[in-house]
Amino acid sequence: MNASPPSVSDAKQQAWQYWFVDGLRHLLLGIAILSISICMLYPPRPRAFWQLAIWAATLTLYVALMVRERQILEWLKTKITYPRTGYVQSPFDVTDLAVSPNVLELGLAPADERRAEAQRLLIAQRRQLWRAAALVVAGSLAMLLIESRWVYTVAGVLFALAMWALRRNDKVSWVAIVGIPILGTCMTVFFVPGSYPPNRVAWFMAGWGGLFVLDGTIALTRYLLRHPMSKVAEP
Amino acid sequence: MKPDLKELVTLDRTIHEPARLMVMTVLYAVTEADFLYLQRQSGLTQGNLSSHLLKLEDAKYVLIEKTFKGKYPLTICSLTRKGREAFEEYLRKMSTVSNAAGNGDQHPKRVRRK
Repeated sequence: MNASPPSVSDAKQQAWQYWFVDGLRHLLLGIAILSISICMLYPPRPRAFWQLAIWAATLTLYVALMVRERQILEWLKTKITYPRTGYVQSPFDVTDLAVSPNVLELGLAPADERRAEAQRLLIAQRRQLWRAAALVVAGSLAMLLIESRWVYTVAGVLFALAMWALRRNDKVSWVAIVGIPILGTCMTVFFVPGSYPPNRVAWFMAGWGGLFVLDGTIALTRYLLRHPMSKVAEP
Repeated sequence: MKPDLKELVTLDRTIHEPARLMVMTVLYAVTEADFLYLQRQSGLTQGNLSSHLLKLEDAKYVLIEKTFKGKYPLTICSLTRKGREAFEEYLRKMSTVSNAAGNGDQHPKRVRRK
């Protein structure tokens, strides 16, 4: 027998991680960030039909990924993930109400201690999320407001810290965590002062999106190699 | 026997079997999952899992539905309201028992013989 989930919270955690194991979510997120950065980098010019067409296509792709992300992800999972390793309801659909707060995990520690431990974990998780959001906002504001080439290195480090905080829950790989500070440092070193300001942010976003695409592609390739399609007859 | 420990006798045997307890735990946490996911999580063979699911279905703890996601056929399993309540009751009883065992009398100190 495999290592089985000994508790409800473990089963929940495994189901959450299963949602990210195929890399599709990061792949779509990366494509969305890339497409909006391309729109920012190449704004449409009059009398340039192809440029306008490409701009409109990337913008449409971005809007579609933002508005229909869930449906696109479900469709891809139906083709790739569910036939290989099975279907489980998205963790975003499972509300906390589904698991009764009165349910206690089985264990040898007294009930009060277990309840306190569960509460502590929940608070720590929320605090981590807020910390990551604050780091991302600080990095973004710094890029937009501060006119210095070093701001990209600082923003890269802040973004990396934010992703490092989310690495367990959102399965962010080291590719993105290590890649972002390197990207920021590269932008500091190769940044040409005097270029149009929004482009610098767009290049940073393009790099970030590229890292997510790389992360998602690696995870997807690994997943496909580990789980080749096999016909399983169900009862 | 302590009154709390008497709860052991009243445990729901349908859930108490390890494989079924595993299935119930997973389904309680994820709301719904298909046969393949349960099989991978539990490590049970196809026939074994199938028979356990049938027992849970007979007890009206699990609802099994055959459906399609696109062209891919799915056997989706979910806990019924009765199943959720039975599982919560089972956990409550086990918790009471483990508390009773944990807070029980200490083992008598061993006396070293000279």
